[in-house]
Amino acid sequence: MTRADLFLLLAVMFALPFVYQASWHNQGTAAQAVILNGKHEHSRHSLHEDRRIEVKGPLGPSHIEIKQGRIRFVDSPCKAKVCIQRGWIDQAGTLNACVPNRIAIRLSGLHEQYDSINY
Amino acid sequence: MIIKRLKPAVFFLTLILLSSCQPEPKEHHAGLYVFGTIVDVTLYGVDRHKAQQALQQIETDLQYMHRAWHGWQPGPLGRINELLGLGGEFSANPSVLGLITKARELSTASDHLFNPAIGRLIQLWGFHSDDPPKGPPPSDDDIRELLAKNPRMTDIQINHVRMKSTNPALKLDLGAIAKGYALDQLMTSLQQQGVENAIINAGGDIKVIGKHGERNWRVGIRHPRTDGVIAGVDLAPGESIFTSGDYERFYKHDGHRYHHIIDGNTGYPATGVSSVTVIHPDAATADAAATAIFIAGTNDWHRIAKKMGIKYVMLIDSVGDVHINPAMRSRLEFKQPSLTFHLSEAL
Repeated sequence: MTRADLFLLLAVMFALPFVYQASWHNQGTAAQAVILNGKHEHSRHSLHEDRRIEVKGPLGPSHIEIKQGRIRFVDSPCKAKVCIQRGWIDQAGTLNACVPNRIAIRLSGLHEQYDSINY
Repeated sequence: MIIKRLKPAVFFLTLILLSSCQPEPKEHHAGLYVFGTIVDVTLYGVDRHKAQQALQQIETDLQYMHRAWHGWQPGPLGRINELLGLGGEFSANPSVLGLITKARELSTASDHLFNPAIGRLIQLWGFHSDDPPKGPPPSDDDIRELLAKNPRMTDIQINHVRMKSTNPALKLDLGAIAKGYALDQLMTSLQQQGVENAIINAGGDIKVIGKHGERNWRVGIRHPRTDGVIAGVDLAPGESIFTSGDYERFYKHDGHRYHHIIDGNTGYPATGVSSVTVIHPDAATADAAATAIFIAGTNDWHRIAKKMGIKYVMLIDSVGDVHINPAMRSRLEFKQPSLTFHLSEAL
């Protein structure tokens, strides 16, 4: 093994934890939101990137907000507004849906604490 | 020479690439909109083709059950409600007969605290519809008038497929058992299709079969007053967990909050309890028991749970105290500090 090999080996070993962190670990601690439109997946978002998302359902557009690791329905064209009353959710395994507008948010991550939430 | 020098680097780069490969998914999810809620289905350890077939079958079955068991829309139960009101004997639709028979057994076991015969009272409060009511609450006189007629499940006589009611005020609302009964049927169907591991969450009510790989399915129980989880629990294969809470469906009128769990003895929403969580292998029993124990309240919950054969109960009262039996206490991993516990005798 030459010096160049050794240097390369050390560089790779040094980089490994960061690659692991980026490719696996973040998906566990930073829960991910999967947004469903009807039966189909609309989009996936990290809960660590604040943003607003518009999803068009059969009744019209629902607006969803991600902020500081949490997610909620801000506005939805349903009558009862149950989805909005639920407020912020942040636990992996949690599901919140605007049933009349057929739009749902499911929180997940690689190292989920719970498979599902009972309520 | 260059290739030889690069060998270690290529080896480690290959390791890194392999470590970030996405494995074939072991879980398959579907969100289905039925029973006025979202039903979240997760299948574990089956291939994509079998999962798609099973999920499609679940959707078909759920839509059929929703149509058949809705007491307020045209369909088998809607028709049975019309015929029960007429008082004569008739042949009941087989798709509903098993559910009604089960509901009658559980109603009797609960001392009629779980009482699906009070459909007219539920309708009077406005909780019969998929959309929550806006109020105002019904008048005391209207409630008293319905209470005087005292409809009970034992007013229904069943002789094979023939059925009749001896109380014209009886109207069935199976909302406090239908989801549980449906989950039992769906899991049996999944097992017949060769799916051994699954969890179904129907608007917060859960049943599991098998495991999630090497471990049991893990469920978090939502705190009735905050958005967080009050406790976590591992469910054994075949178990179900049901919670009845005053936060699920309610409306506010003139500063008062009216929830959907109506006490058939008083005619008003049950008081003193925020939520009741029950674990039981039979989901229909867990569903009905969660409602009955909620209505039984802090004084009578233990007796009703015992009478219904329930082994695991947690009741959170209106001030946030936790009333719990020892077996349930030892199963739950509590996440909230400063809880006040009232440990009951064993069930």
